[in-house]
Amino acid sequence: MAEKVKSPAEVMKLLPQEDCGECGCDSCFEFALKLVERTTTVDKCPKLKKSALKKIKNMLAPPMAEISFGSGDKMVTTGGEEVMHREELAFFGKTIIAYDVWDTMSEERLVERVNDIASMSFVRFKVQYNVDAIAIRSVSGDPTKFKNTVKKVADTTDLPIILCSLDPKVLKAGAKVLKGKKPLLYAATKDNWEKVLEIAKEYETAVAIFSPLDLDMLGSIAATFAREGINDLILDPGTFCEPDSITETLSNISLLRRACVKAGVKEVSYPVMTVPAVASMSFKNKKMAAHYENYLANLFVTKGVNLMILHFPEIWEFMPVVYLREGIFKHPKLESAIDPDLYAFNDPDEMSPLMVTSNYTLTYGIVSGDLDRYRVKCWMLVIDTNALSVDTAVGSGDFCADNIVEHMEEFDVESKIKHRILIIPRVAAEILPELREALPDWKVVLGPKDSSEIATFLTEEWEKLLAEEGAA
Amino acid sequence: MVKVKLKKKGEEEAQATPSSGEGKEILDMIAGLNRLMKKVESIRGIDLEFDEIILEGVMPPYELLSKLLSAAPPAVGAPAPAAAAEVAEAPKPAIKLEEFKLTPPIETHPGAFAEVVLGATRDEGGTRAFTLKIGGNNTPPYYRFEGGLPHRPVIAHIVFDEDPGLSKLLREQYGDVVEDPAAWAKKLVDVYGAKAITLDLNSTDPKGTNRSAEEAAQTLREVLDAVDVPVGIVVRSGNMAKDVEVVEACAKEAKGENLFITSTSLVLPTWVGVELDDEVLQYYDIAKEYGHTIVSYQPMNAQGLAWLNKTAINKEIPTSKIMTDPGMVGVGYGTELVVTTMDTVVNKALIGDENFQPPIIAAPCNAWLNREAWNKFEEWGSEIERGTSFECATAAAALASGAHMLVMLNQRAIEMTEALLDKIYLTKLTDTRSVMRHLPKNDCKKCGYNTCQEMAEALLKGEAEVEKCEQMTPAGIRTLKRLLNPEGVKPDPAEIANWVVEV
Ligand code: SF4
Ligand code: SF4
Repeated sequence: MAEKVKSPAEVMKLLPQEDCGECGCDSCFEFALKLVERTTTVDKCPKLKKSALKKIKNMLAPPMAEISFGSGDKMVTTGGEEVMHREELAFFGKTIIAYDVWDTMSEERLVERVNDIASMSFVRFKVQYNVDAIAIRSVSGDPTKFKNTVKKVADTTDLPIILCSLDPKVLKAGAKVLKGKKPLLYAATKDNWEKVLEIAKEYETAVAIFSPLDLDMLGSIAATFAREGINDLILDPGTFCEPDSITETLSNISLLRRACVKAGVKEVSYPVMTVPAVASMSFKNKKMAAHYENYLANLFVTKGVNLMILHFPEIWEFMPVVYLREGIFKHPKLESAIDPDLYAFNDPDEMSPLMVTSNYTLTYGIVSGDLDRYRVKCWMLVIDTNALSVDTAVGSGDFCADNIVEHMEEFDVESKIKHRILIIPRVAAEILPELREALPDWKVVLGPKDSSEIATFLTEEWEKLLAEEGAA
Repeated sequence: MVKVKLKKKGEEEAQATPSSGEGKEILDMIAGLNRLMKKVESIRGIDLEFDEIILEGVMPPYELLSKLLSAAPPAVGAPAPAAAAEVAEAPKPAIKLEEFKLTPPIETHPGAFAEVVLGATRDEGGTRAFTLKIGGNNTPPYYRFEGGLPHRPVIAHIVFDEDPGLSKLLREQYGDVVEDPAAWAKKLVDVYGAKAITLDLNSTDPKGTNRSAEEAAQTLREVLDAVDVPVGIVVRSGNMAKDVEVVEACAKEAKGENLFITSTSLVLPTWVGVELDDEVLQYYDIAKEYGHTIVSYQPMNAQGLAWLNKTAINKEIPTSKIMTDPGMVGVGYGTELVVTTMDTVVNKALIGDENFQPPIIAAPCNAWLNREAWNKFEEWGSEIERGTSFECATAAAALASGAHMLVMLNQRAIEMTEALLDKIYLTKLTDTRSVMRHLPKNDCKKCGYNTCQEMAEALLKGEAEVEKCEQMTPAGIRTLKRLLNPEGVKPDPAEIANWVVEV
């Protein structure tokens, strides 16, 4: 039985015991704790001897292999899981999201679709989210056609590429084009594994092993590839989406994960992938199919699947999957609050509006997203509310007049800003009287209820407010 | 200098890929010869024992040619060419496939979720036409390798007792009934086939419309009279004293109906050992007295939920009269924390801790509280599709984490969910509406029927073949056929083998 979570005491024995703090922790023990929960990395301690470093690395190696494909800064990595459920520690092998193109598309359509996929993105909490990889399917079965398609795709984007065909000749034609770019071959099966192994060796690729409903064969092929030196492997137990078979797929995902992290079965200790794109086989109506694909994708993300190939590059489908993924794969210990500060948005000057909000990650993320999106020039004072949202913090007393005044002093607001108008969120209306009392020189006004309305609010009100102040 | 190698089947290939000049010519020539040999092979129907000819290094064309000729195709029936032994390196041993047999890592779980019944029929002291059963599983969600899935999750369709400010998509569905909760409930059952209704009494908020407890009970009465499916209520006045009043008036009015009652204002964040407010205890007493099911509500707080459940159990309310609500939120707004809470609840329930065994009710309709579900913002694509995709994504997270009951709002998301559940639970379709979920709803008449509805009726009577519908894919046809007649359905690898080429 594999250990559920590793012991910090064991790691501690191998550390220098100097408590020097250079790793960013107060003590070696704290560093050991953080290593075990994987919120720091072992190279942060400069005093470790090589042998100890190696030992710690071995000791902490997660049961599931960590794999990568692609090259350069777009390279993707996944796997490295060590628990069944997020509650036990965290999920680490964030789902790589790929969309497909195929070799029977006209060149024009191909380039267009690749560009659509590569440019599909949205910004949330200052992070831009994009598609991670692109899958090229050989529909024609013709190696030359495939080769040309792969060439075109590689010329158009530097996203990591998944080559999809069960015919080794086709895979080889594609791999040849991507020499040095480490594509993922999809897939090795019980019928073609020998040839695929040759290609993987020759072109140093990653390999997906596809063995629908036969997990013994899945493990057999994986073990064979590992023995032959191919370690970037990912398992596809088959994505079924029809009656009953879909249940089998969901079950197999959990079965493989448990065999890996709980039972320590080496042969299947690799990341797991699914192909929600199969949903498109169920419906002629594209919207229905896209919604079904979205449904499957979100079931799989919740189950911690490490790679998915999707078919409908629709932003309204991409967004919820990524929203969920970012949450599921967030380390609970890293769910930190935002540092309190006076934040500047879009180059404000001393006469730009001043607003205040809480340091709850989600609140700040949403507000800052809106300010960026609508290019609002302003100052945002983020106060420490113990990471509670504004309305909860009003209730708990953390979003109160005294706290706001303290932060204004700490960040020297009065000298950075010339006007004396402070806008507070509408949900904090009940602190208005005490805040006005605490800030006699300031005009405190209620802003809009939702931060998406800030831009409109300021366009309509700000000049008026400034004029009133000037008059006074 | 140079040599030519004849590659044997299964043998590893050597590297030699000149891309230009003389080497390139030779390569082209070999490729031509390879094709020729293949041709010979196919025409004569013989096995040449060589997959292809591979070039190593560079070699003048004539020399190459002579070598190649020496490896000319043998006559039919001849043994493997002797020439091969001269030019080819000794064949490497074939790569052996590792043997492996996966023993399913089955764990035994001493505990199981309680079974909860929703509603009560006339025999049971209520007036519902039927009851529904949820929970009862003794394995984690969809771990089929460990055991079965006893009851299909139930979706309760939500009705608001005053307009909550419906978005465009929802207005299309409920715009005509938004002023009348009873009509709304009736539409959900008659038009959309709801099997359970939950009435949200948001108008009782003293800071809002502040409707009285009696008015709330009256609304509930109208809903109970309008529909005959199991009914629940959500009381969230934001005020503990008011919530108790509302719960009491409603519980009394619906005596014996076995409502499922959620009150979100009664329980502030709570932890094991915290003394609960009198109002909470009153709520338990009321529910028990009038024969209803209580819902413990604690957002993202498994221990708090267990404590509430324990308090109820101590008051001799059985786990079959309690549900657990972990406070579902839309994806991107902390869904993962709810998922984690549900993981804890599932783990503890299966270990055998009674306080975690009441089944889980989750409300993906909360996805609508977030702007992504309705905001008109061009860069995010159609807000109509987003409203559905965000609610579906949230429902998917809830189901994958083991929810036994969902509270949902948007009919498109509900239909997607029911269709998925049909497939996961291999539910035999017995009524027109469920068959319709799996038909294209184009009313194109190509099947010979005027509408998909007529086709659905004919399918149920066994008078039509699913294949007659021209708007379905083979997988869609297979799906519907199986759901009409689920006996003996087994997963078949052929269902997906063609994904690479077919999509
Ligand atoms: S840097 Fe190394 S020696 Fe110093 S406290 Fe950290 S772990 Fe200990
Ligand atoms: S052919 Fe299909 S889509 Fe058209 S009416 Fe008949 S059942 Fe409906």
